[in-house]
Amino acid sequence: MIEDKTVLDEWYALAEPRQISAGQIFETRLLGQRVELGRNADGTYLARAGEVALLPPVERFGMVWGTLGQAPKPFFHFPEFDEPDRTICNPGSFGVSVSGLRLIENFLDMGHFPFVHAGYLGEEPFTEVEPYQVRIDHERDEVVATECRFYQPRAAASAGKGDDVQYIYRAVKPFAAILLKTCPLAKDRFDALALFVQPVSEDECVAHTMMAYIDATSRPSDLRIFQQTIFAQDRPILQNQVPRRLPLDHQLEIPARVDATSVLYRRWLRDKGVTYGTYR
Amino acid sequence: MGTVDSLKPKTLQQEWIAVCSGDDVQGRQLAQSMVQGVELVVWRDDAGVVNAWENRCPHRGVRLSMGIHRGDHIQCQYHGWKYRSCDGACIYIPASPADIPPATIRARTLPCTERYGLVWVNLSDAVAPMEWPQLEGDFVVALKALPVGADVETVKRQFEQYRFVPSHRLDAGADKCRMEVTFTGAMSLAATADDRECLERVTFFFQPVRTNKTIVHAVLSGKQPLNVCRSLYEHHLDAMKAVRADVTRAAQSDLATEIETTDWDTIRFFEKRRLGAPVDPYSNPLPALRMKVARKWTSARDVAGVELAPCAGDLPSFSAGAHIDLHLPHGMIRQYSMVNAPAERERLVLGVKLEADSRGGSRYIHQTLAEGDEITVTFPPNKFALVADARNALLIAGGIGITPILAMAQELASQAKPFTLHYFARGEDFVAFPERLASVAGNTALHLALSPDATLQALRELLTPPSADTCVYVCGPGPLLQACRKLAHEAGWPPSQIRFEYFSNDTVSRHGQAFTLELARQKRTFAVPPQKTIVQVLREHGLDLIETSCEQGVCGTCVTHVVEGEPDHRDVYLSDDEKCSGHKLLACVSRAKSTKLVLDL
Repeated sequence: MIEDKTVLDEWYALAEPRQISAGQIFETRLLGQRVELGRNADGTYLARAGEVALLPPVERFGMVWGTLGQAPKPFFHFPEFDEPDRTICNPGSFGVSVSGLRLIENFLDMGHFPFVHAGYLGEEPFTEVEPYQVRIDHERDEVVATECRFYQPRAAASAGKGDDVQYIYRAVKPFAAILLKTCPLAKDRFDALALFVQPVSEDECVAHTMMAYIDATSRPSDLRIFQQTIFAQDRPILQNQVPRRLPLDHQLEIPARVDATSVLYRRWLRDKGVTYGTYR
Repeated sequence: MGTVDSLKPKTLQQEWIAVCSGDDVQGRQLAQSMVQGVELVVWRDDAGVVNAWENRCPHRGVRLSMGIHRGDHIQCQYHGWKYRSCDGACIYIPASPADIPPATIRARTLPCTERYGLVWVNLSDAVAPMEWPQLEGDFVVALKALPVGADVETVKRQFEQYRFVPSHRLDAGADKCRMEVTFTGAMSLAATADDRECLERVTFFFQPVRTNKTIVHAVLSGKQPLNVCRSLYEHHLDAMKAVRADVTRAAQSDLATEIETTDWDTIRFFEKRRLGAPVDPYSNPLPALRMKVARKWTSARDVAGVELAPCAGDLPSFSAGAHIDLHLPHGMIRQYSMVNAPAERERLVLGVKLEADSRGGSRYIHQTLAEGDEITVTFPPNKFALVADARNALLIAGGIGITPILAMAQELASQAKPFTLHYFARGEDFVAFPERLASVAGNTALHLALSPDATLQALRELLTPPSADTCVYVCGPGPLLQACRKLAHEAGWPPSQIRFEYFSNDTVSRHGQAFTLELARQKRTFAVPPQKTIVQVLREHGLDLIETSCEQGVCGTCVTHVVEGEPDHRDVYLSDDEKCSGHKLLACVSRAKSTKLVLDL
């Protein structure tokens, strides 16, 4: 059984609602355990790990969430998901052979934009990451980075040309994060992209993403393709990180000043006592 | 030939291990290799020096073999960090282009050399010279390597049965001769063809990849020229495959267990090795050049022109906007930009302004440095280069900032690209390099003796409105850079289209007031001057009491408890509460607001 209670007592996105039909079993793995999900005739969900019944899964933010714990902590806030004029799009779920914590850290990082996402989210020689603010929101227990900005040649499917984009990052759970970026079509509002990581094992995960964008013009397939392209660029980098699990100290991996968000994220994990998926 | 038992190494650790062939690292390839589960990236720089490093970027752990070989350094493809050949020091962090990376950030290196067509690494700290006397003086050719799925002892035993035809007899369809083993080392085996006519030797070098995988490297040698033809390689490859088949047959009778190596093997191996003292990023062995002052003259009031010529050899190539590090006496290192036109590649031309508050550098150059003096120069990367695809260039120079700007102007003029150069100087006799300016006079506007307000107005006119196909380059004193930044921001220029050259030497501003540092437990007191950090002062006195990592105030490794005094926090790690409490500080960057600071050391 897993010893890391912090990680055990959380909800994790496991599947899309349409993947679980009444009378069928959906199999997946969570925290090293095989989990089977099913659906009752009345639409509610059930789940078990082997012979043990788990808490009934819930639908939230477009996904079905399950837990191995008995007292999972409350969900985080994701207000953009419920705003009526947003386009909600699920670009798909992808398996990655690396600790889920590495995925969250990559999601919170801007410095890799001109290299991994050249031509989309960044471009050489515009590589400078200007100073930003990052802190812990103690009330919500989140890591929040604000005043982040970066020059992007093509920031979103709806963007026609390059522009400076503002970002706000929230690490809302050890394995979940949300980013907000300036919307090309409505300069005073933010597009929202959420990453819900399902930790399959300590060094494997599934990345579930959810977009809540202000975009009445792009086709859903365009939104999906854009997001999948970005993800496909990250994946080979993530799968070639050594060690696969996230080191929490700074002897093995040395940060630069611009890595303030990732430094605070690792410190937050350490203070919470998270060990699952870490290099130790 | 005599035996080479005297060469027999005592342990595997001391022995050189072949990890790939010279061909594997030709061009700008990055080869991956593994020794006993430890992952390596192996590459050869453009100057021919081979490197073998831990295959892991020290920043976020991405395999360096996925990076790009840029000639004299490797660039990681995650965040673009660059690591130079030989010592693996990080020389550039694109997210902070104006800063010099701390000396603690380095790829972990292993001794590496290239001989006999193969590349070798040594896993031990005490490194004996790499040499196989049995091969010295002979004609040598490296054969194709072969992986074998068994442990090194089994493979080695089997290769004692190797049979081959000497190269000169290949076409004649001669029989294979059995080898007579003449040497056996921990990782090698040599045998001679049993043919009196032409004595050839095959030496095998075994690379233990994992406990169930060995790569067999082979070298053919002889006292006479070898008949190197395609059938030679095929012949030996077939012969090696035949031995491999025997190994596989034998192995199938055992229950071979698959040993899974984890990425921890690589990390733990390098963690055990001593990293050694952090290397000063300026002491790079390759690009340092000994130069002589060929000419020195007065270019303008308070500006000395200096021409440097290499004492031997050629100058390395450099681009417009680049600068050098001049290594002056007493450990002073100062940066100066080159004023060179593109065709001027025999000498470096610099302009040095005598600074009123000189810390000694410019004063030394003006008053003491003379023609004929020798000086050491190193070439850091150029972070103030012309953007290749910009259509127009707007060049703004203030005072001595004209030096890189003038180099850019000459470069653009030689390519007939459109540009305008605006040079702000205090007066006619402060204008430096007038003869060079004359060559670009058609595109140049001089702004002389303007008041600060008039300067601001002139800059505002230049920068308003922004233009989508223009790139702006600014170099000059602090106030000019700040004014341009502000005006550009107000006018709405995308930050990507404005390039600033910083002449600052500091990674993080270390200037503050001097204070007294007291160590409560050691009962010692030190004076900390404005331009030094707490960690630096302690290390200078031989006290390595504080562990550091990033040395930028980011990671928190150097957090130290404060007993007395008010800290001057310069980090981005501690929370607001922690900073307010004043009980701790990060000693690598933070200072004191009070005159005395007492630490719990």
